[in-house]
Amino acid sequence: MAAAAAGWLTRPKPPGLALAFIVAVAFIFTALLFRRERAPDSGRAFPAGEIVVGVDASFPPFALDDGGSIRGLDIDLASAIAAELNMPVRFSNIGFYALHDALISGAVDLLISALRVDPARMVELRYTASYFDNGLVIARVADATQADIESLRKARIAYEYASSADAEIRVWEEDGRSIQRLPYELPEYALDALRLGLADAAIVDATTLRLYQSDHGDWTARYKYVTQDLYAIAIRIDRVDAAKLVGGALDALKEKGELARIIDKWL
Amino acid sequence: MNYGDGAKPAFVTEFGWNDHPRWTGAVRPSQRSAYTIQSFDLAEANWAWVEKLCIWALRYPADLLSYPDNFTLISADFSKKPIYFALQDYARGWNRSENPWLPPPRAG
Repeated sequence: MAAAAAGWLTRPKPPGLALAFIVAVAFIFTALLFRRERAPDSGRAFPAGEIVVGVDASFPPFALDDGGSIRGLDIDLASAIAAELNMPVRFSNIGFYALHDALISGAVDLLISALRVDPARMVELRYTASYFDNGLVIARVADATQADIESLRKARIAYEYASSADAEIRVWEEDGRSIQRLPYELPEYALDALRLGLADAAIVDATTLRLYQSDHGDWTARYKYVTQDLYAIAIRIDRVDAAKLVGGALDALKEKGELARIIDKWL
Repeated sequence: MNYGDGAKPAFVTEFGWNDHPRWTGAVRPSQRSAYTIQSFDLAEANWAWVEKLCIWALRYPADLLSYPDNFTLISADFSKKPIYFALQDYARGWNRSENPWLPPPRAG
């Protein structure tokens, strides 16, 4: 009896069954490897037949309601994305603190409103790649070289008192850099100090620098980013098709130089 | 004061400014720090009956993801904000001046 049981246990499996198993595994593996992703469909992504964009139109130059019509960088960007997707766009002007609720409730499809990428929100929404970096920049006069910008030892640096620029300078000082601080009430005053030769460099956010340069057409500065503050488009996390389409359209606008043209128009 | 209560100590349990860039009721970060410090000077010079001035708020246990986050001196992740250092300097008697910033630059 024991010998019979041992014989049963050691009996070789029929070779045909093993072969079929191997072929099945290989087939599944190959299918997974070469499966084609379902192309996102605009009808499924935006079932209402239009893209509804939530925007806080009280934050120029990104969006401003100037008496009935909303204009700004974010408006142009949303319109360009809709054109890229060949879909109509409609804007919903919402206060900043209700934007995320509007997105999560489905009242709007997207948020394009100078929104910072916030990892804490990524449990319920996803972001596209960023379309603008409003991080801090260190600016010097136009004839400064890149090496000058990076060294800046014992430099007179202008900045807004008690701002994020102030915090950045504190970090540099803790790293042993010797800096002569020039605090001002407003970041524009820091740029005035640079332009008038009272400072060797100024630290401000990228939007402030670009707007300042627009207002002082005869003056330009070289600059380098020292921190990141990324603005991106937000989409509810379950709207996978919408995210793919909008992300793809944004990439196309970057590739064609259209995004840069929009930014240059407003900043 | 008008009713003879001048000797009673008063505690201001919440005060402060907010510097959130997207809130219409906010001030600039520079103004937030300056106004806060000036409040201590004002109370010290004029309100002997004010025993405590309490800033709202030191830190929240978690970010609210809204403008009240910019009432705090320390972020939920324990990073100290510039106003924290300004107040620290003030408490230590450092960098005390009437104006914490330079006058607007002028040409020539």
